[in-house]
Amino acid sequence: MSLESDGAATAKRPRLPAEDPSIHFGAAVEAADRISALPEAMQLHILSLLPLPSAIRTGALSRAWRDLWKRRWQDDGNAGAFLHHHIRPCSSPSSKKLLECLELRQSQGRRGRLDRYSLVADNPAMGARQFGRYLDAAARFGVEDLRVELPEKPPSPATPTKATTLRFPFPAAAGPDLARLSLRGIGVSGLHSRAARPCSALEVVRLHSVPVDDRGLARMLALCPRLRVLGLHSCSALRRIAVTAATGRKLRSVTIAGCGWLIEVDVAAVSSLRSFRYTGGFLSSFYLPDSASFADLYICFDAQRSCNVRICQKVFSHWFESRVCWKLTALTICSNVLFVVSSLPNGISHAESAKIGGDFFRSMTELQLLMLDMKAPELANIYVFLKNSHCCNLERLFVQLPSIPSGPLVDASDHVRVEPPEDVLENLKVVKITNFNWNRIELQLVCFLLRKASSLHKLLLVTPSLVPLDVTGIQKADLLLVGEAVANGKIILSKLDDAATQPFHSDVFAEV
Amino acid sequence: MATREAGKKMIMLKSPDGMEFEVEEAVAMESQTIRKMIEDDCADTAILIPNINSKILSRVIEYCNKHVPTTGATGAAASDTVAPAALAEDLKIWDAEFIKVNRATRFDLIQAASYLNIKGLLDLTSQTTIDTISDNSLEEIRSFLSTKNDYLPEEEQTIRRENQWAFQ
Repeated sequence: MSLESDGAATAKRPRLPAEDPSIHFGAAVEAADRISALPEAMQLHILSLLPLPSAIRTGALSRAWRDLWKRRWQDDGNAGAFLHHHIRPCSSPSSKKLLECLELRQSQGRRGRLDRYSLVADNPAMGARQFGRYLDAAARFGVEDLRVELPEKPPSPATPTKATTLRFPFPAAAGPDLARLSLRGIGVSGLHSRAARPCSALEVVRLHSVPVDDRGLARMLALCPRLRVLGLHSCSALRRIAVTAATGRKLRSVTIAGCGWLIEVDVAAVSSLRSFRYTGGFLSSFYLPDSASFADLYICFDAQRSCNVRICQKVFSHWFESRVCWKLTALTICSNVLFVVSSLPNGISHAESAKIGGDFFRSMTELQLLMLDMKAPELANIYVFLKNSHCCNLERLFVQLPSIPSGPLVDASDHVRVEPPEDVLENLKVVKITNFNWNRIELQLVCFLLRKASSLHKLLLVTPSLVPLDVTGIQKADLLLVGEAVANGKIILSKLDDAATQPFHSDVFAEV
Repeated sequence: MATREAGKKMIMLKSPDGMEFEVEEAVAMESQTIRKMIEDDCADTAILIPNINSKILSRVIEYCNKHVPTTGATGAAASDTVAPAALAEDLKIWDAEFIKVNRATRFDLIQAASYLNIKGLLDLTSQTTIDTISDNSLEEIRSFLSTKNDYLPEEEQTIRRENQWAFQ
């Protein structure tokens, strides 16, 4: 059977590119150019792999190539479309040659094409002076998007590597057009210089493994009056991050990950904030703005420290008292936060909890729960959360179970004392549970979803075992229910994660 | 449905010029495009591969056969005894031989790899193109890519002048 001759099968087939009969791959050349016949993404891919001078030369091949070259700089969502210099000890063209290219262009007094520039200085012999020339060239070119990275070196206390002496002079090395700055593994110097002028175009700052301290960061923020996006990853010199109303006027998104020594985050004054993502250790003080209306939130405390529950309660009681979350569409929280949020209504008055019922989480369509543990109390917390949050528009639910299964369930604590909520999941359509281990509590969650989510049409279970492992203590009715759902295709068991169904927050920390 | 050996599902691939190729499902699934069709149950017996002629298709299948993780019948006996590093080295040499084809075939292979979404083959074929573009003069590149120069002479001069440093 050929798909072409079978109408039904053809209709089902995913649409494929290049079905235009005029393009016949094996035939003689018909398109304007061999490469023009390729999909544009492929053309741009080839262009991005070329050394800079060769890539620029292609602009002189033909008009189509020149247009392609222009398009290369247009889409800033395309990670492959920027100029990238990876300077290694013996690379070709040599770093000296590259620098000459850059500076020659500069001496000709032209700019513009070099909008995005990425520099990886992977050469221990590279001196501060040469490094500075690269940055100067980039700055004077009017680069809008600059990324500078020093690859991580294995720590060798005996011989301090030369790379540690390289610093990014900020704001001196930031050109007048710089809009996005991304630094990785490199220190920042010149912050406190008197000559420091604000970077009026800078909107996005991402720092990864940058040894900047509290004072340095505060100063940096003060020098970026138009900052919209701040990302901090593994900046272990930070202990307190406090953004004042004056410095964070435009700030819309803050992402903080793995800053090991951080104990305080205070963004309470930043009412423009729409997106906040945090993952890392427990914070002893943590303030989100009351007046902001978040669109997405991600909060995960990776350590289990129940002694800090009271502080955490103080933080999250705001959630229930204010309208912080009424525009929230995507929420990710870990089980530590879930625990606190779920326990909140007990502490607040009945009138307040009635008020919650109206607005709270009304817009939320996606919820991701990162479970550090999954026993009866955690399941009870999920029930309470779903009940109290009235997330009646929830469409997608992601539950990430602990990758190492929690120990055997103890009789005393494995009874879920909370009734599953009714009528809160009418719109839930897709559920994905990862690290599913077939334990009784996990199965209870699955059965709860099967019974209460009336619109559910897909429940993905990513599990190391496609057959139930240990079903002791599970009610027969539950097993039958699950078996039936597997049989009719509602439950999809898989050993591999499904790339098509990913939470909104799946790679938010990758981009910092 | 053709089943040649027990436990090995076979897939029939058809080129538009009427040739049929019977390949193991695992080999065909080196192509993400075909994999998707198989997984979506759109391909129970034969798949017509539009736009790829039998000559190119047979080369693509040859590539996939070589690169499929070696649990299949092809080369299993040999690979069981060979260390992975040696195997990778062997593949490299094989790839280098494989890509020694004329330009037209090479571009047909890029297009086929792009259409069928076979990452390894795409990397292999586009790398040779990149080498060509970076090592040759404009005229040579044009002739290699069959690019028609649609600039007026003075326009081309301007562009060259603007980017003089890149043309030295």
